Amino acid sequence: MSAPTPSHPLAVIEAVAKGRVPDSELVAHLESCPSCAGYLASKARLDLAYAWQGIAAELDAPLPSASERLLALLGVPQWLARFTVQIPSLRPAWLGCSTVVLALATLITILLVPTHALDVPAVLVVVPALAGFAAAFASGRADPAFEIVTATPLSPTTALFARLGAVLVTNAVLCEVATLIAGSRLTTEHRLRLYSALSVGRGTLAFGWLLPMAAVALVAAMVSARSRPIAGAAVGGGAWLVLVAVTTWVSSDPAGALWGAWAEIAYAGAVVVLAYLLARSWARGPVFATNVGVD
Amino acid sequence: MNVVLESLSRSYGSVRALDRVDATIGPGITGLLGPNGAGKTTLLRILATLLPPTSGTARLDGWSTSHDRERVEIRRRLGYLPQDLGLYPRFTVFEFVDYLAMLKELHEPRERHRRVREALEAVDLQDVAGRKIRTLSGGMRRRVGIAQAIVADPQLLLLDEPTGGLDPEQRVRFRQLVGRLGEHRTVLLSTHLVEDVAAICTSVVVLWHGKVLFQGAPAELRKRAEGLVWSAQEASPDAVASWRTDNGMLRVIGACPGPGATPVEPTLEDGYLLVTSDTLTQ
Repeated sequence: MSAPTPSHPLAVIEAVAKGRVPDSELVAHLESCPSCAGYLASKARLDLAYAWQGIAAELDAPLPSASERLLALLGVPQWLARFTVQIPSLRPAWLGCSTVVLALATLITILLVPTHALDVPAVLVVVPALAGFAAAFASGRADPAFEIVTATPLSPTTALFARLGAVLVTNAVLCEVATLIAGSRLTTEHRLRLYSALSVGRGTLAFGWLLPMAAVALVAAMVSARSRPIAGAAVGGGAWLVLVAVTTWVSSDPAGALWGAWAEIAYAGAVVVLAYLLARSWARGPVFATNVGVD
Repeated sequence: MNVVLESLSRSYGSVRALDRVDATIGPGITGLLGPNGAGKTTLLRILATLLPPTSGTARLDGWSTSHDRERVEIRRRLGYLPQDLGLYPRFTVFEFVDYLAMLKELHEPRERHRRVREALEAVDLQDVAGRKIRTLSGGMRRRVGIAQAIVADPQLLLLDEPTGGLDPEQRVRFRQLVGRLGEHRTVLLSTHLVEDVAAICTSVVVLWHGKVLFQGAPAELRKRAEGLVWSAQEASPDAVASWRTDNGMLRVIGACPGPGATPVEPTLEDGYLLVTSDTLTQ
């Protein structure tokens, strides 16, 4: 094949032959100019090995799960999405257990203590999140690949907040559903109080319980970074119980004190401070490294 | 990659798992030899950046396991096979190795999948790449663990009791594989099986209750027992160890057990027993 005359876009054709995507102008030119089209064909080299690698990569690629695809839609990179969905507390069995806990809380709220509609959910609402958090970071049986994964260059801070966020958001959705179900069976007055406190986006404040849940989970994470996940969950849950008990004891309006605007501002401040401290301490030391034996 | 340990200690409460360990480990295959509880796993976990030392330093090519950023650099060059290998049973073999490859910063799918296929071929698992891990035998799972450890072509390979649970044929194949892997990288192999060390290691570190009793070539360890191994009818009471062999004679390690005893060629195991018994008698 003889080369086209110099008036033809030779340099661009050679770049296309090496992989550059042709623009519409060049495509039109190639369609109307057999000389340039032939020149491109003579220059383009099909690398079968490279092409096969691409085909094989597509064939081998594991199918992403629905939750992975959802995270990808939200812009989460593939590797982080796959890491995040491996959390034991996001597996169907665990979510089933969380649903049972919340269903029981809902049932108690509806049937047994309608006059104290806030107390039971207030105590229980953090339980699935805390337990889920403990399982998300527990080594050994909860996450069998924990040790191998920890030895990868994955940033501990990224790992922490990806899993913490996933656990919180998932439990937030479950709690929201439970709250709506419970609320639908209460009197109007109790329903409004319940919604304003516990339901996202309703009442005077959005994220009523999400901020305290996040704060408690962060406390659990901070303790866990230097101890064990179960100890972190116990301390976080204990702190929340103490707060609820003291508020109920000293306040004439416990619900207002626990879920009011000032309380929410305090929770938000605590979340910011705790997240900052946690990110610092987490990056400093290996995560949950004490959970190993002597050998 | 060079591994330098300086006065490295690690305690769990009052239990001292590693006690001022000094050692230098270079390219090739180094066997970390010692009984259960000697501190082998603790040492490997410190090198894998999973455990901070209580005191002292561990440096890998100059990077300290105690510094945040340097720890990430170490992890980028590390392949780790833990003793208690945890895998996701619902994953396929390919999926699992691919997942770990992603976390080891191999983000480009074409290149990553090529590396995964290569790693599976290296451990002879390419034919079961699509099988769920829960359907694999113990030996195959162990090889999945090795595949994930080598998928990112690490400079340092830490293998904790890798031959545990393998049958004799698998163990031989494993030795061949590790022998190949050790040609171009540093491999640290923890084991309590002297024959593993004798078969493939170019150097050996003997750990005993957290202390280094010996570091050097396997031949040097064997040499420690020269002139101290006998074939005899009876063992002397102060013998380090003795056991009856298939020819009906006793193999005795220690001072000459008496008239009629003939010296025999020592093995690595004899050297190991002698080195560790020195500590017992002191």
